Amino acid sequence: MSADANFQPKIVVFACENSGWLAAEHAASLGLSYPERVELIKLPCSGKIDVIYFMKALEKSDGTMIMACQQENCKFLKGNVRAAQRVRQTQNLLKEIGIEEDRVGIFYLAANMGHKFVEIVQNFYDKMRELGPNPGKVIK
Amino acid sequence: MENNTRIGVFFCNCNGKITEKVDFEPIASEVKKLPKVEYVRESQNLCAHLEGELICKEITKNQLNRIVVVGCASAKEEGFFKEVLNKAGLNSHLLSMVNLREECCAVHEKSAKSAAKALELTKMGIARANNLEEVSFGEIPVNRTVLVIGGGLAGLETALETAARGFKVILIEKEDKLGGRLARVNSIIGVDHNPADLLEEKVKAVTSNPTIDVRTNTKLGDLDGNIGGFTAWFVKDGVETSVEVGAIVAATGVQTIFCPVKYGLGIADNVIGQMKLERLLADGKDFTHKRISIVIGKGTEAFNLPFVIAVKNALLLRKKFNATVNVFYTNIKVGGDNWEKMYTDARGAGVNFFKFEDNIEIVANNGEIIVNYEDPFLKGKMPGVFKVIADYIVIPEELVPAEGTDELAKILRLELGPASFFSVDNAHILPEMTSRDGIYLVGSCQSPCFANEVEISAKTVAEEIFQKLDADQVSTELTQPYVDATKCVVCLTCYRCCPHGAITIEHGEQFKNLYFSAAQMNPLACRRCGICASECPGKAIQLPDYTDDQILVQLEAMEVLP
Repeated sequence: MSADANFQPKIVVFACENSGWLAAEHAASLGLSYPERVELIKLPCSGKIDVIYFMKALEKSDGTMIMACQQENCKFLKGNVRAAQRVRQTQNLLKEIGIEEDRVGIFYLAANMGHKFVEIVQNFYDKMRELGPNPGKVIK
Repeated sequence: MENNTRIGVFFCNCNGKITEKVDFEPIASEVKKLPKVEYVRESQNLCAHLEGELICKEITKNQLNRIVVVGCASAKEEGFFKEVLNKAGLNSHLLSMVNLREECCAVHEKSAKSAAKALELTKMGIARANNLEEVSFGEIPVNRTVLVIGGGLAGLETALETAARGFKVILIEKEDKLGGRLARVNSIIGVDHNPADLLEEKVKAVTSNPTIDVRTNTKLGDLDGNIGGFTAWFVKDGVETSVEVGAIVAATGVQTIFCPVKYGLGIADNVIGQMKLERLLADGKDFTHKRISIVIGKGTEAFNLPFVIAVKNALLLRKKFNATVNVFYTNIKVGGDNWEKMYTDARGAGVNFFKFEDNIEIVANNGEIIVNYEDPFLKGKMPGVFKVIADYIVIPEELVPAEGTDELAKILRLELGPASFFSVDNAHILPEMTSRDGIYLVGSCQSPCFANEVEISAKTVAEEIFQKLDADQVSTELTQPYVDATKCVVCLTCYRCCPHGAITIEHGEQFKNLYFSAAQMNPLACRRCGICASECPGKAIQLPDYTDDQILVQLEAMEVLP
């Protein structure tokens, strides 16, 4: 889809501090690497994610995702389920305004999954590269 | 303070780990241009002991009131800097940590792109610092009464343990006397006492203790409030009374269901359940030289209790009555203190163990029980069906939660876990705890457990309650979400979605809205997940340290690249 081979997408990752955030630290301790234009924002639980966070992130970046704990393993019982609902809600909004739904996603991992973290980020990055620049980005 | 924000930015080199990938000079010069940044300093190792004092001095000298630490963001270092801020007289929540080490240096090569990322991360941290808010401490009055539900061994043990730690205890029991299932067994694994003596001793200790208030024929009808301030309604003979308690312990236990149909048997004198066998042994029934078959399997694998009890009774029957004991099993689980030894002892004493795989047929015939089974080990050498004749057959009962557990779960607002037992918060890290602070589980109500385990779990819970409610006033940091009453429309969304039942609806003139009421989070019960804050349709709820402003401003600080 993308014509520009040099396109480097920017990705905002919201990470639950019980899984995604720790997995990122684990990835760092393992000496793994992932693309530079990936920014992490810490949340106390994936259930804290809000549609406005995703939308604001998409004003600034090409793709955004939430990293939640494994299903049925949320410290706060249903936080990751709520996060998944919020992702669907955002996707509906994106569909309405004509932006690809795939620009927002939810991924499940555990705190000791450094490799999985890098894999998820890399795959998402590649997907965004294919999709091309986000038309909704607000460039000042 | 809002108009007078003075931010201090401290770069930590982490002993060269960071500067080998990222240069601080360009970032520092860029940061100095930002508004409200008053002070920038670079250090070799910011978490060194002497640096703490230096930061304190710098804070006072430059009248800084927001601190940004650019380096790492591990929990240990965060604690160190919070202490430093406290020493300097600042609120420890006015700290913003930027995780340059893990997010940038460790995962990227030195390049223009990683330098840009480092600058962006620092800007995000500073933007967040601009929006930080103070969090105060609060003194919360708590009630130091513990309610124990269930008068079995677990309930009695918990009552004694909590009373020993200076709590007033109310013990409620739905039956007319204390004791529970302990009164019906012959011997207990891991405890040398005779159960009847043990029970008598415990009941005597409980009834003679002036701080324990025993109420029999009483059920919990309803519950309101949170840790330190529960209001419980007791139902006794159709009359409701309300009592204020601080913590609740559920010790409702299990019940057994005898179902011989599962094994193709009917109800007969020689078809005995394990619990009935215990009672027969306690009553002194004679099994001398009888032939006894014990079957374990067919869905009893979920818990290890039936296995251990079967082995215990097989050994007892063999030793005491010199009976011929044959144990038929699919699997035998004896993982625990001395259980493996008990199993080898049983084999040594002459108990026969036969493995079967599904194909077992049990027939009752003229007072005799015939077990036909195929042995998977002898299949190659001696194929065919073996026939074992016995006078009695002992089968395990089904273990299910005590009657009314689901009703109690609704009243306590707890979730039920596997096999409808109460679900513990985290089986490995937080056993005995539930998703709600102030409500604990002891004994078999979480999953069938042994008498010696009950003692340990009762002590754990008593210690936990002691730790939580150590005085009439508990001092705690008020980091629970706060509610803007003018935006709250009392829609109960937060009340329903809170996984810890920490939210109550309060009424009063101080809530400036149409209803003069608003949702309030209990600081002792809240665990700061922020689910209520994001679920709130009116955006009336904000979680300190993670307010919408603090997160959106970080996104705002990002650079947009085409």
